[in-house]
Formats: sequence, structure tokens, C-alpha cells
Amino acid sequence: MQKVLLHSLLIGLLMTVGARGQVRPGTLEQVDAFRIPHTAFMARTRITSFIDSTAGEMAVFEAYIAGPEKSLVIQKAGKNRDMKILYRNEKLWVALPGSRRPLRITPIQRLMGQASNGDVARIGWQTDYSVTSITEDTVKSTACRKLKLKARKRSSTYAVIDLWVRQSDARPVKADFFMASGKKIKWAVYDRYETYNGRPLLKQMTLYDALRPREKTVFLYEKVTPQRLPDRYYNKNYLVHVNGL
Amino acid sequence: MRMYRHLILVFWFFVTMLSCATAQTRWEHRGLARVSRTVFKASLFNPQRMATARLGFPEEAGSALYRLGFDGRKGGVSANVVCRMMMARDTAWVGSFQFSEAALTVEAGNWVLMAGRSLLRWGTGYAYNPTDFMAPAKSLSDPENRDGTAVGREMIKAECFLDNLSLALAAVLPVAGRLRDRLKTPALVGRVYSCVGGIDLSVLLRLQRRTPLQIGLNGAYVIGQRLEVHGEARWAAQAATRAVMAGFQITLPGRVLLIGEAWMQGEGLSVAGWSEKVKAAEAARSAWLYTPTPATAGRILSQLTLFQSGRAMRHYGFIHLQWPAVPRIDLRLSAIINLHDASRILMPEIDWRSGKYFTLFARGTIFGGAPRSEYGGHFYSHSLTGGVRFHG
Repeated sequence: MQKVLLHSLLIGLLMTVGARGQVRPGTLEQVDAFRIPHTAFMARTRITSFIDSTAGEMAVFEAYIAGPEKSLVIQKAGKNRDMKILYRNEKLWVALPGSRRPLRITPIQRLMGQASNGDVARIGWQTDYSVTSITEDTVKSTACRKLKLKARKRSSTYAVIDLWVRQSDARPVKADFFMASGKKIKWAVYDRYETYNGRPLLKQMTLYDALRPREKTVFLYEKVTPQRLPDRYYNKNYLVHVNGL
Repeated sequence: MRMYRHLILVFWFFVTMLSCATAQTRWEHRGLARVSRTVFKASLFNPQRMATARLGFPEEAGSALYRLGFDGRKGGVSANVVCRMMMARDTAWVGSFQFSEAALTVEAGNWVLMAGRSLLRWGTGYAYNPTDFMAPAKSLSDPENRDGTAVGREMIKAECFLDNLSLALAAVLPVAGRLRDRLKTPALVGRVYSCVGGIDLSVLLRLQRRTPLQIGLNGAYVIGQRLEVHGEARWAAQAATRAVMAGFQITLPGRVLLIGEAWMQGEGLSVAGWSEKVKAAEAARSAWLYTPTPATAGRILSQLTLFQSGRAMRHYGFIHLQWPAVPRIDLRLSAIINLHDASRILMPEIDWRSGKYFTLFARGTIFGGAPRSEYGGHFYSHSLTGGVRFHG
């Protein structure tokens, strides 16, 4: 009984401070831990788009993440094989295969299927969003906390995210993504987790298009290894020299 | 000279192959096969469709292209070779082989030194780049070089990459054998790039003997989550060399990508210059109507087709729409608009990705405008191109 009271008190407190926009600073750090295993690492992701249950386009990306502000994504398979996307300090560039010119791009620009550039180049939420409120909810009989995330930067991929995390350990369960107009454009289900270095890490996520209910895009995080690239790899003009990775 | 050039290229090919024999390598295969059918029209430059008929302009054409790319790296040494084999037919089949790029790169710390044939694209624009001092002009029906037709230049280049700064200096050599854009003397081009206040900013210069100094400035900036704006300016003492371009790229609802650009340049004809050209064409047409001998008539018709050349004037606009209508199918529409007389070329295109390696495409090119305008007076009415791209 004491536990229930304490729990209710804590939730009430979170909801109160949430309304003032001052939620516990560690909340998103805890959520991000399910997707970010090291400060610098390589994550290999297979993205497949589906209509109903028929597989369509497929692509494999390797993302070299160096802290919260730098990432280099290289497409290893699919139509645009060898395409490179660079994220650095809120800015995104792409170097298309066969092109010798990196282009400045927007985070919402489509990459493939329902995936935007920002969905692949940005992994963590902590640096891009702040929690403005926390409420209680249930998703498929799992007790969750619904976090309302608001973009802290103009360059954030989405203006607002409703994120449901498991109450017991803050593991992401599902998310709704909104534009600044308030329109819901996508939603995601965090399907599967696997143990990596003794802790659970996101293995598979499915992204659904709010406007095209028959379509979905599955992100399968195939491999994660600690790896740090030299700084020059995160310079926009070096993109055309990147090879051998 | 031609033999010397081929020897250099063969040398580069073997150097790169040998240096990368045990390195990490990546091969890229791209292919393209297409056929096109063109419909000519009677116009200012093609009276009674006689110019295109008598000069043997082909109504049907076809080409097949295979592009093989190779990247290799061993330690700090890397090589890049892209060669292109092409068979094209308009009146007869003609084959060609070319190294689009062949370069050896050495990296030492923050420095990158490169020698060989390479494409130097420094502009921020999609279709038109006045600050691409040493790059081949883009094809407006394929600005992204998806067909792999762009060919580099021979150069020695040094680049230094610092945290938020990069410096590049390249000596471009007059070795390339393409008569149309061969350099007469070596040129030195440089660029300083930095991201300042969120703006990608580059200052560029071009120095060449017997050519006025050219200075360039380009930038790109993203506003919010959807909109990117960019611009380029080229300045030189000669007004004809100056040019300015401004553009944007926006992602609209429904994943539609819209790109818009407008540019003004010193070279090309003014409105008055174009009127003079039209008058001359009309005079030539009258002369053709009353000319007594077939030889003279042929010469006049030939001159008429040379009168119009596309992008002949100074100010143009470009719009590109890209819509992934359904999975595997992309719809594209590009338009080039002459801002003086509102004549335009519309290029609708449909791409269908079939399987893992093939994309089928169909592209139309439709010329429109008033009879005395640049594209309205063109001898093309429209053309349709269909084909398949292979990407392995």
C-alpha cells in the first residue's frame, strides 16, 4: 500500500512539474540508453518498406555515431548504394552516389519508404527534444508513461513526439510524430529488444505512415560495434573522399 | 596529344589497380539503355519542317551505356576509377570508351592530396552552378548525373580539413581532350569553406593566364524542418562572365520534393539581341523560300538550325518536382523557363524500380512558347525517351 501511495505521489509530482516544463532531466537519457550503447559506435541498420505484408524497397545503412552531435551514415545496399549522409551540429548533408558535390538537406526530406534523413542520422532524443509533460497510459496491456517531447532545436526531425515508455524501465514502446502544424505524420512501434553487453538494446522498430495506412517501414538494427572515426570524416567536404569503410 | 592523353589514362588505371591489389575495394556497375523518338515541328527555325528533314536530323535514336566504378583504399592511399563504355545511334551506331574519373589520393593527417582526372563540383545549386569553375555544365534533363555522363578534368589538388573549415587548392591541367571545354592554359582554383551561423559558406577563386580573375561566393541554409535555400554568385571584371543564382528546396506534404531555381548571367543574348536574331532568322527563312538552288537552300537551313541553341538568353528559371506516388514508382516533373519570353521545356518522367537492380523509366520533353520565343521557335515539338537503368 505504501508503495502504491509512493508511486502515485511520484507520478503526481512528475505530472505537476511536467505542466511547468521541468521534468526530471534524466528521463530521456534513460530512454536513449535503449538505442545508444556507446558514445562512439557503428550501427548497421537494414530498412525494408512494405505494402501490407509485401516487401518492397530495401536498403542497408551503416551509421558512425560520434557523440550526440556527429554522425556519418553510409548506404551499403539498395538503389542508392554508397550514398552518404552527414549530421553535424544540427545540420545535414547528403553526397549522392556518382555525385562529387555534398548537398545541404532538411531533416524531414524522405530517405526511403517512410524513413526521413533524420530517422537514420539522429538516434538519440535527449539532445533534440525536451519533455514537457508525463502522463500515465497503457499500450497493449503494458503500463506506460506517455512523454510529450517538444523539439529544442529548429533542426529536429519532428516538432512534437508523443512517446510511450514502459513504466518499469523507460523502454520505448511506441511513438507518434507530429509536424509544427500539429499534424500527425508518422507513428512507430518499438518491436523487439536484444541483450547487448548485458543490457537491452533496440533491435527492431516499425515506422508507419499516418496518411498511408497500408505502408510501413521496418528498421532492423543488425549490428553494433564501438568505433570512432577521425574528425575529418565529419567535415562536409570530406564526404566525397570517404571510401573503404 | 591524343596518344599522350591515352597513355596517361592507361598509366592511372594500372597504378590504381596495382596500388589497391590488396586493399579494401568497392566496385560499382551502372548501365543504361534507352531509345527515343523525336517529333519535329514547323517553326521559325525549321520552316515547313524542311531544315530537320533535309539535314537528316534523326527522329529515332538509341544508346547503351555501361559505367564501371572502382574505389580502393590501402591505409592512407586510395584510388578511384570510373570508366564508361557507350554505344549510341542516331544515323549510325558509334562506340566510345572514356575514363570519367581516374585519380589517386593520399591522405596524411588532415591533408588530402589528389592527382588525376576528377570532377570538381563546388556549387550549391541543383541545376545551374556559376561557381563550379572547373566542372562540366550540367545536363538539365539529368542534373544529378544519374546517367553518368559527366567527365572530370586532369588536376592536382590539395585539401586541408580542420574542424569547421576546409581549404582546397587545385591546379587544373589542359590535358582533357574534349574540344568543347578543353582549357587553353592551366588554371588555379581555390576554395575556403566554413559553416558560419548555420550557413554553408564558400569563397572561391579562379586564376588563369589570359583570363580575368573570377571570384565566387556560394551558400546554403536550412530553415526549419522542410526548407533549404541556396545561392551562388560569380564575379569577374568582364560583365559577360558574371552570374548569380538563387534557389530553394522544400519537402511538401505527401513526401513531395520541390526544387526551384532562378539565375541571371552576363553571357547570352539580351531581349534586343534575341529580337535581332529572330529578324535574321526570318530573313533567312524568306531567302530559303525564294532561293533558286538546292545547295544554297541547304546552307540556309543549316544556318537556321544553328540560330537557336537552347539557353541562348540570360535569365532562366528551373522547377523540379519529385513525388514518390506509390512504393517503387517515382513521378518527376522538371521545367526550364526562359524568364524573358516565358517559353519553356517541360520534362515529365516516371521511374519504376523493378526488382533489386533495375529501374524502368519514361521521360517526355515538350517544348512550348510563342512562335518567336526561344523554346516556342525551337525545331523540336516533343520527344519521348524510354529505357532501363541498371545499378549493381
